[in-house]
Amino acid sequence: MDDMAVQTGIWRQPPLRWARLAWARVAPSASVPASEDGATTTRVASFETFFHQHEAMVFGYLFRMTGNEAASYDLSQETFLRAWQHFDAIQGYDLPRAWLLRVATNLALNHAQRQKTVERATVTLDDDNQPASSDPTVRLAERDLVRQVLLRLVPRQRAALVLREVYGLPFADVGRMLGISPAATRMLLWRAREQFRAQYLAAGGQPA
Amino acid sequence: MTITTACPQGITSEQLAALRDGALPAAEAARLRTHLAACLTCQGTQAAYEEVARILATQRIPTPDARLWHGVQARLRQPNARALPIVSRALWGGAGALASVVVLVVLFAQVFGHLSGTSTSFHSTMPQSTQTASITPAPTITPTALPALHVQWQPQNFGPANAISPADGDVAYGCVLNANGTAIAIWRGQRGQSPQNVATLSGPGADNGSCTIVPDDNQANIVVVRIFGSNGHGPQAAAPFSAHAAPGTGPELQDDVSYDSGISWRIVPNGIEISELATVGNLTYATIGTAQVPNPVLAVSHDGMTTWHKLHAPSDTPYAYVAPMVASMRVAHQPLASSADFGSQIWASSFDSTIYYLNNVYQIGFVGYVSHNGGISWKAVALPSSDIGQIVEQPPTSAQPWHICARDLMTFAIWCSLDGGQTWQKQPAPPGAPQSFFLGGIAADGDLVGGSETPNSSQDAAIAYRLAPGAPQWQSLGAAPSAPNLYPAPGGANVMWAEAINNPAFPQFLYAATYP
Repeated sequence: MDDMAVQTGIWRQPPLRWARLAWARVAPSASVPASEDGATTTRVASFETFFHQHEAMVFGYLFRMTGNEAASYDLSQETFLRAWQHFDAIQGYDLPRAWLLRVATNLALNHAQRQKTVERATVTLDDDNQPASSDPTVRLAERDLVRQVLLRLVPRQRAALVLREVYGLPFADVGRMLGISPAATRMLLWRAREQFRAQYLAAGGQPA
Repeated sequence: MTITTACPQGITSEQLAALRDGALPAAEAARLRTHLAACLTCQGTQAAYEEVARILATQRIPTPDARLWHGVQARLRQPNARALPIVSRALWGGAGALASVVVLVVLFAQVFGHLSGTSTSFHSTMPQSTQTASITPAPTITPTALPALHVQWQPQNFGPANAISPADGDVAYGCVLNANGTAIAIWRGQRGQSPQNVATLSGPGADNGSCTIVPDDNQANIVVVRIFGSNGHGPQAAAPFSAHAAPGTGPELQDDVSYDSGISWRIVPNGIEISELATVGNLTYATIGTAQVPNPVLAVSHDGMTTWHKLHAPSDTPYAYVAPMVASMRVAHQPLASSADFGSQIWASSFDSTIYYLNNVYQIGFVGYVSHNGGISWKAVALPSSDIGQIVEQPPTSAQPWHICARDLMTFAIWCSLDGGQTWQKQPAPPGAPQSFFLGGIAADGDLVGGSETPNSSQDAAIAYRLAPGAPQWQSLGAAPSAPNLYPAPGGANVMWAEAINNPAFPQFLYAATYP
């Protein structure tokens, strides 16, 4: 349980089923009307299904981009809030995942810009993070080393590399998501791979 | 993983990475695959890239718990739930829904408000007033079907090149590592004619490297080539505004500039990386970066790119970040394949001394600023939506001020302004899936040109469209090599360039076409 959870008492919040009922009962907003009609109820239910279909993907991507669990929660919320605002359109997309990743990418890059100073402090590779054996503890450290090395890449390199190699987005989609030309995407991905490889080896990382 | 050495045949790791990404034209990809089967060095590089993917897959990722759904619900319960910049929520998160709305309004006003400052004493206070866009909905005219045109695309014999950039309607530049892997060959091509090797750039950083091209927005004879070396002998990085290059261990790259259409070249001093370029008279406006300044800054040079003076553009405000998101989406005067490493755009008019400076601000969208005095003071350009993510323009003439069109990346609506952004008119929706449409640019005759690609296709099958000013619907121009890389040339006849990446119907690298 992290500090944020303790401070906000999040673990004492009701389970999902209760929460859904409570939402339907007390929601006073324009986004979720207090007196829901059938259509609104259906829309809300559809959105919850949509949310659960994609939450792990969105959260995982944002964790890879930020390296920070609390920030990943925050930015994931923001991503899904935007999805709710555009839900009618998103439902008609063949690949809503791409829409979510695009929004999440924008949010993560913005976050990275604001957190630049903080990130620099957190990605320092100290002696404790230098894996040197096959000990399970070291293997865990090595997996965390991936996080640290990723954070050493400039954010756009990080986004391109993760979108392409982890989420398997086609090359053209990566460029589209980052708003850059194919030539720039090609260069960005190449540099990201080279940077990651060099940094990982320099930090003592071992082959997977 | 192993660190690979140089391929004896001159195949670069950049090419191998592009092969892995499916980013090469079919012919070049086939050539590389043949080579790869017999080259142990390149096999090692490919294996190393595979290893990168495997290592990334080992990262430990926490599983989101119920906090996430609770948080989304809580946000949705807020009256008029709106996505807010996180920075605002961090500051005001506990103040409740009303405060959130107030913050949104204030932030919007700040970002879009008027700005002023000087090149020497710009202060980073927020804008004071709100600039509201005047918008007009799309005309509700029942369209009569327009006959589809089938434009004939001609391959331009330009490739495979590491980078290639049309500089105007008739001229394109290309750069490519030579066969020996020892230098960068610069090619210049006239549309419809075979390109010529006009120069060779060698020296530190050129061997076994890659290159990108940044032609000048306003003068096609001025072009910058950036060379990325990988031999460890690249130029030293320097402080961006220092008169003297300081020793360092910066990236292995250099920018070379030519003022005579690629015939002669000189190195841009001080390790400057130029991403945007627009020359007006003896002034060169550019967005530049260095190893020490990874985010671009707007700068001006009075001496042919020898020294630079930073222009404190409005993006220096706290909430505005010059984001590397939209660089390649610029169109008028801009290359298909520039370096595009940075995100700001500049358009400097040689007609009325106006400079537009556009930034993409994450979460807020595009913000635009205009200066009528060479960058000394700025005011905001009101945009029709807060989610604008793509902007194309046509520079002013004696008969028409700036013509700007913008596309909303959330609703996919397209807006155009014929008065430099003071008023906006919503345009008819293009055919096909809205998320698959890309603005190409504004052609010389004022037509808005764009492309729509086949959704969910792994290949870049595309159809080009145009929208005449005031027309109620788009007209098909037939199959095109690419949708996102469609480029109507800025001047002269109606010429389009297009770079085909992965389109079997267009196996060459670069195409050009004219249309009536």
